[in-house]
Amino acid sequence: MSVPSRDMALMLATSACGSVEDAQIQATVEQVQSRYARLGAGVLLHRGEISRSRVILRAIVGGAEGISFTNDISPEGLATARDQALASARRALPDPEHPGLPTDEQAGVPLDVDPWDEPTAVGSFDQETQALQDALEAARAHDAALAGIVEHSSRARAVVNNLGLARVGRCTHSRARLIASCGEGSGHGGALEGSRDALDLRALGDKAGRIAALSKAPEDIEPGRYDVLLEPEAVIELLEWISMIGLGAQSVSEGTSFLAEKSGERITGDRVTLYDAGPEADLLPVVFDAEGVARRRVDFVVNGVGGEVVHDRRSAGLAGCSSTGHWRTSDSFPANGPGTEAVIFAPGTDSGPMLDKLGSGLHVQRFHYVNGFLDPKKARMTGLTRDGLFEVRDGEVVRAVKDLRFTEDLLEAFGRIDGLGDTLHSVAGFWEDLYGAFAAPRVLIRDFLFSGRCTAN
Amino acid sequence: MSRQVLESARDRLRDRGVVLGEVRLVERRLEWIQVRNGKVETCTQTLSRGLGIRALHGGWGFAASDNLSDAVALADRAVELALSAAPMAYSEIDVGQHEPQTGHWASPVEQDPFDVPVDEKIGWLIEATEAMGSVDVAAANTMCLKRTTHLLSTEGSDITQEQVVSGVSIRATVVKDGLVQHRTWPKDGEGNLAGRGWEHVRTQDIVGMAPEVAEEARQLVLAPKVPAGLHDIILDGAQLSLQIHESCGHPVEGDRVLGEEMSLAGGSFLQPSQRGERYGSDLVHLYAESDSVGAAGSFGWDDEGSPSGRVDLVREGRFEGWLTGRESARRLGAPHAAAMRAETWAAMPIVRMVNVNLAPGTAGSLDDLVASTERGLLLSRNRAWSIDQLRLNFQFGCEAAYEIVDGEIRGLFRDPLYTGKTPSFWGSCDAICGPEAWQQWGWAFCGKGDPPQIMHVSHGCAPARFRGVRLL
Repeated sequence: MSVPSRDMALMLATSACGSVEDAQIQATVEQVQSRYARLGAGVLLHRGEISRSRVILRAIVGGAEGISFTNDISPEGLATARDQALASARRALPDPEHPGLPTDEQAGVPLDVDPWDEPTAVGSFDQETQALQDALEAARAHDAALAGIVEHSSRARAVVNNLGLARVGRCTHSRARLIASCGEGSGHGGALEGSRDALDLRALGDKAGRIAALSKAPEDIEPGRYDVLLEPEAVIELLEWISMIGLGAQSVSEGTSFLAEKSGERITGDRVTLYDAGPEADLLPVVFDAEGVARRRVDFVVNGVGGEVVHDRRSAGLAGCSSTGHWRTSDSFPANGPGTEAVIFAPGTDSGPMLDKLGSGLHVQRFHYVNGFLDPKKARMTGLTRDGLFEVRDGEVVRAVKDLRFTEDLLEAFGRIDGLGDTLHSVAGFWEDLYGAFAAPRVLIRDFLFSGRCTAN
Repeated sequence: MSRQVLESARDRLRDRGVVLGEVRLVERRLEWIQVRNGKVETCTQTLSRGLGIRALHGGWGFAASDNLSDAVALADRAVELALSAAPMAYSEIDVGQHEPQTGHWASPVEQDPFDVPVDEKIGWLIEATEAMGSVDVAAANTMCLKRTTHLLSTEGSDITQEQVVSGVSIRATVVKDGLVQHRTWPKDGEGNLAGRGWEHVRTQDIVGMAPEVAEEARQLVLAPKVPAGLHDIILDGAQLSLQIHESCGHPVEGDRVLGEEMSLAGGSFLQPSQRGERYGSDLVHLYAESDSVGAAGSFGWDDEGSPSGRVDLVREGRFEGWLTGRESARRLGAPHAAAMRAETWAAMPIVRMVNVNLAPGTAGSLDDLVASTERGLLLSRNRAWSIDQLRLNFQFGCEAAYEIVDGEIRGLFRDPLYTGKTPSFWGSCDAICGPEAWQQWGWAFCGKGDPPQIMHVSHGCAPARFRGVRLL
C-alpha cells in the first residue's frame, strides 16, 4: 500500500477541479493510510491496513452549493462527481449571502510546518508487533485482559479551487485507546501523538492494567454530591459534547448554544478557558481546513467569559466576520455547520496527582456515554463513570467504588472548579472526523452531583 | 471491477492456505439533503467503492483499498497481517464449516431513491419547512443509501446483494427565555429509516405534519416541567425502539459479552450465567430478525456470508440468546445469528445489531392503552440518551410528555427525563399494544467498533406501558 503523497494529492485535486467557467469549483483531496491492531479479551483480534482516497467536489452557483464525494479517481469518475456537484448547486435555491470560495489571499497564510514522521507513515511490522506484545504483557502482569486499538496513520490533504487557490499539507499521527479488564474492574490508557515512537504502549498497557487491578472489587457507594478529581480523559468526554452543542457557528446563529448572545458576558467560573488551538496544537495538525482557509486560534471562553465560535466561509459571511478555518463536511453525517478541530481546556498550575488538594471525594478516571442534549443552553449533561472510580479520604485512595451516573449543569459546575492540573493530555474523540481532537488537564470540582448508581437493582 | 479479479484474489487466499478468506467488493452511495428555514444547508452525494479482504490464518488479517488495480497483492497483505497476528491471537479460532452460499438479494424497492431528481426532493423539504410557520429553526432532512456488495469466499460462497435504506424527517426548534425545545416527526435526524425506496419516504407526510409539529414546539416552551417522581409511563413507538436498541440490542451482542468491544461501547451484563434468567416481565419477547421485509436492518446474508434469519433473544421475559457471528457463536456455545456486518469496504465485519424486535402484545391500539391507564404519562420521541457500559443504568430524555388522567390525554409537559435499570424496567412492563400498533422504526447511526463504524438498524415494536418509573 502506498504512503499518501503531497504531490499526488495536489495533482489529483487539480485534475478533479477541472476547468469550469460558469461556477465556482473546489476540489479537496484527502488520502489516508492506516495500519491498526484491534485488541480484545486480552488477545489481538485482528490486524488491519486501509488505504483510501476521498475527493470532495464542491460547486457554488449564485450562492447555492452542491457537494459530492467520490473515491473513483478515474477521469470519468471525477467528471461525474464534478457534474453532480454542479447539478446539485444549480438545482438549489440561490443564496445571495453565501460569500463563495476563497481566493488565495482571502484564505490567509497557513502556518509553515510539516508535521510528518516518516517511520510512522512507512511503518515497521516487527517493531509494531513487539510494541503490541509489550502492551498485552504489561496488562497481563496485573492479571488484566486488554482491549482496544492502536493505530498509526498518515494523511495528505490538497485543496484547489478555480479562483486560484492551491494548498497541500500532510501529517502523521498515532493513537491508542486501551482498556484493561480485571474482575469487575477496568482501567484505561490512551494517547494521541504525532509519531509512532512517541506512543509508549507498554506504559499505557501498564497503566490500564494497574487501574483495572485496583478497581477489580468495587464496593457500593451512595449517589449524591461529592468533590471530584477528574482525570483528563474524563474532562475530554465532556469537552466533546461541549463542542457538539455549543462551539460551532450554527448553534449560535440558531440560539441553541450556551454562547449565543453571551460574547463578553460571564458564563461560567473564572478558571475556565477553552479554545481551539488551530495550528498551534499538534493534535491533528493539518494547518488549513478542507476549503483551504488557514486555521487560527479561536477563544471560546476566557477566564469564564464567553468569546467567539468557529466559522467557515459561509457562516462567517452570515455573521459578518471572517472564517476561522473550520469548514466541516462529512460523507457519513449531515455536518451541521463548521466544527472544532483541536479543543483545549487550558491548564492551571497544580502539579502532581492532585489527590492532596482533593482531600476527600471521588477520583474519576473516565466518563462514558455522556449526552449533552438535555439542556444545551446550560450545557446540562448526563453520563457515567467507567474504568475506575475511587474514593479518596485525606488525600489517599481508600477503596474502589461502583460506577455512578452524573447529571449536572456543566457551566454551573465549572464555577466550582477548585484545581487545574498543569499538564495537558490529548485524546482523539470518537467522532474525530466531525469534532477533531481534544486536550485537557486534571480538573478538581467541588460538590459534583451524582444522580444514580449503575448496579442491576 | 471484473469478476475475474475478485476470483483471482479469492484464489490467492486459497493458495496461501487460509482457514477462511473473503473478498468483498462494496459500492456505497449516500445522499443527504438538509433544508433549514427554507434554505438548502446540505446537498451531499457520496460514492465510495473498494475492496476489503479478510483472512484467517492463525489470526485474522484485514486489508482494504480503493485502488482496485492489484487485488492479488491486497489478498497477500491480508494473509501477512493474519500471520503476524497469530502469535497474539486466541489460541484457537473456530469458525466451523458453512454451506457455501450463492445467489442475489435486494431490498424491496419500488422507486430507486437515486432516480428521484434532487430538485424534487429539495422542493418538498422546503415546502415542509415553510409549512411550520413561525419557529426559530424549521428543518427537514432526507437520507438515501444504496450499498451493493459482491462477496466471494474460499468456502465457495458467491453472493451479491443490494441494500437500500431511506428516510425523511422534520424538526421544529423554538428558543424562548433560555429554553430550547424541539419537536420532530416521525423522529429526529434520519426519520423513520426503512429498507425500502422512495415510495416509503413519500408515505411520510412531512408537509401535512409540519404545522402540528411546529405548534407542539411552540407549546413546549410554555409548558411546565414534568413533575419528578414515580410515574406509570407509556413509551411511543419511536422512543420504545431506542429503549430496545440500547437496553436489549447492545447487551446481547456476542462480542461485548466476550470482552472484545470493551474499548469503546463496553461490555454486557448478559453473561452466559444469565441465560434463562429473568430479563423482563412475561409479556416481553424480543427477537432478532435480519430478514424482516422492508426493515432498515435487513439483508440476504451478513458480511461473512451467513444467511439471514431469526433468533430469540428474550422469550417470555427470560434471557435466551445473543447476536453472534460464526466465531462468537462457537465461543459462546450459542446459535449462530448471522450478525456480522461492516459499514463499508474499508471496515472489518463485527457483531452488529440487525432488526431487534419486540413482539406485539394484546393491549390494542395506542388509544386503547391510554384509555386503560388511570394516571400516567405518554412519553414521545427521543431527545437524549445515555446508558452505562454494561447496559444496566439508563437515562433517556424525550421531547414531550402528555399527561394521562382517567384514560384521557389532558396536558403537556416539557423535558421528561426517565431513568431505570434494564431488568427492573422491562420487568415493570404490564401492557404492550397489539399488532395494529406494531411497526418498524429504523435508525441510521448506531456507532460501534474501533475503528468506529456506523450501521443502520431497525426495531419493530408497538407502544408499551411501564409501571412506577422514576422521572427526574
